[in-house]
Amino acid sequence: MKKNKPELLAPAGDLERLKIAILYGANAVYVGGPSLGLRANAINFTFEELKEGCQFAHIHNARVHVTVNIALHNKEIIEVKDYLLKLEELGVDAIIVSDPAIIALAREYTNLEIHLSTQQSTLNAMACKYWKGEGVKRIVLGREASKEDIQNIIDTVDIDVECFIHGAMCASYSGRCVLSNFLTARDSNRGGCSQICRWDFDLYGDHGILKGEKDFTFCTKDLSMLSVLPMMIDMGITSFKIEGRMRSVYYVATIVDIYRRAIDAYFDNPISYTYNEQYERILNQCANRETAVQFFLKDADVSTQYYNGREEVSNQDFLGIVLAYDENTHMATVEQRNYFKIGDSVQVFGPNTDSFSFVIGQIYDEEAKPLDVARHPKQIVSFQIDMHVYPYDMIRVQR
Amino acid sequence: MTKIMILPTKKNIQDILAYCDSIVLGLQDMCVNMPDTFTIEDIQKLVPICKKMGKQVFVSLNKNMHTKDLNDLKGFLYVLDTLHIDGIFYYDISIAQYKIEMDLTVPLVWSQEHLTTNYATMNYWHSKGVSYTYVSSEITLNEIENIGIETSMKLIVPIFGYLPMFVSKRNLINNYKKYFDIEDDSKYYTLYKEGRFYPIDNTHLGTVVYSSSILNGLSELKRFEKIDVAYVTLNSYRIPDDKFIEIAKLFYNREYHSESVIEKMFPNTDKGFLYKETVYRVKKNEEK
Repeated sequence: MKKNKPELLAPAGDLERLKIAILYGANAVYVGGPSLGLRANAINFTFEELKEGCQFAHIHNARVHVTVNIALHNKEIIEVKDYLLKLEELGVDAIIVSDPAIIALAREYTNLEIHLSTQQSTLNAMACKYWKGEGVKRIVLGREASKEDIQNIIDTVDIDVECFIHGAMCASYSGRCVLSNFLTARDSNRGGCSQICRWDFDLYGDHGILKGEKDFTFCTKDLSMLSVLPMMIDMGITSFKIEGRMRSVYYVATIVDIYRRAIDAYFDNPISYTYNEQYERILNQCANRETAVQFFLKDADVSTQYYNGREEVSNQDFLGIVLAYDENTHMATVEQRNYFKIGDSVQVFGPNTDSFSFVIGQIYDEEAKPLDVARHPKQIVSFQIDMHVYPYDMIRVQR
Repeated sequence: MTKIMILPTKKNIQDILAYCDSIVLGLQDMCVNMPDTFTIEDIQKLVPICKKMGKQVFVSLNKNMHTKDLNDLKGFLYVLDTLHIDGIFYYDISIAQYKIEMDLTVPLVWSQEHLTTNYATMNYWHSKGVSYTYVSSEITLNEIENIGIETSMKLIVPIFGYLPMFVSKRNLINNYKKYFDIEDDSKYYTLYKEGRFYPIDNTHLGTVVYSSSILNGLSELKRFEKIDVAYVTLNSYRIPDDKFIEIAKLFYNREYHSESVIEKMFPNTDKGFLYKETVYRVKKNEEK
């Protein structure tokens, strides 16, 4: 029997990324509201932005999930009920919760759909059964879930299952790390994680320091499930989740675009589907970090660790976003995001555009004065692109 | 009256029983973050001995459970239920479901160590038939006192020992040694960063890391007694047996003013988060 096509669920740190994610093919986005979420350092949405985001999503037949997944402290309890009522009023489709006290309040006072956060590290059917009994519609499984764990849950419990397919990994079971609390006094289960897992440490044994070429670290490679995507689709997983509410608009567009194309290609024609190595290259370049399948096929071993001892340099591949296109003159109006110049080989991709490459010719500023380079962030420039491009298409470095 | 609860090792358990009201035994293959583990056969032997001495026995099954663990888990729960132990510490919610399906009579201890931070969630679990909460070590004394007022859940509060900070399924020490081809058969490992040492263990269940400081709450014991905390826990993890027994005596005999005795034994004691609130929202000007 053919399974349902899985939902593609994307992170959105703000309204721009919400719109981009949906335009590039996400069926749903998850966002942080003004309170009680797990990314205190992200910009997060105001109520007004949430309302606009929900309206935009619903027009495009997409859904908005809001994270309400902090570990509650006494002083926050009083605000939960009103906050949930407000989310419901704004048109939010689901809340992502880790604390059962919030689940109980949501059930009592709202009709919000309840998703259990990965903070609970749910990995087995018995736990899923419990949460189903508590009114949970969907479980975001722990990232340590193996193929066997996931399949057993799907086969045993009638509940929606959401699995991560791409992005950063916690080195610990989610919810079981408070390194940040102890080393920097920032509460990791309340949105303050300072990513101690990426720090270097000295490791001592009984006889002194154990010194490799690099220092000890908890750091792991990112997750990428592109290579096992057909297997995951065949399993009947409800939703494929991309990690990264702190990530850039370019990251969101790129990752959503690639997975959208891969999911559609396999689902629509599994027999002719072949693994696209170009997709893999684009994914790897986008985050500039190595990736692994992690726990899905076997226990995460040494090959999933990251000992390169380097800081990730920020990605400069994203050159600009198309604002408008004149079909008669073939001139594209573009907002610059990174330095580019005449003669650069670049690539365009977009929700309605199969990626293609071209070489940048004469560049003009807003007053139609010729430029050799576009060097200022957010600078509005124009140049000729022979093939039709559309607003929200993106231009990246050709590699 | 607040009872003294010890997390013992196989080595210190015989000597420590005289200075506690109850013990927590980590069940082998089913627990993490415990100073030692005991087989189900060990526990079957220890329970009558402890009962004879008037000591309560709790068992910790606080690991994250995967599908392959469920059969064993169910079997262990059945045995523990028939042993009439005093409680089971659980992290994974599968145990709450087994309590329903197997009609278990053994009391449960909600022990999601870093998530047990407020009275509303404790009241939720209490309404589900859970008897105790093992309170998070990352909340303040004031918060614990407030919880004591707002919940009828019985509280278990950590009061002495290294505090768990991290649990991973990954074999982080073994991976590091393998990657850099380091030959080593150490029994104990420690991480070092900026003047502080953090105990770290790698077992077949993964990796755990502990705080660099030893929580020493002897002078706070009275305040916990005032709000009827049911138990305070003393964790013997990486504490030499002779010193641990001396410390257990101080707590058991309510020598509230002897905190300096412990401080003299260990230069790295502190108050954990009892008086220190962690940051929730990072202010804009603190962002990097």
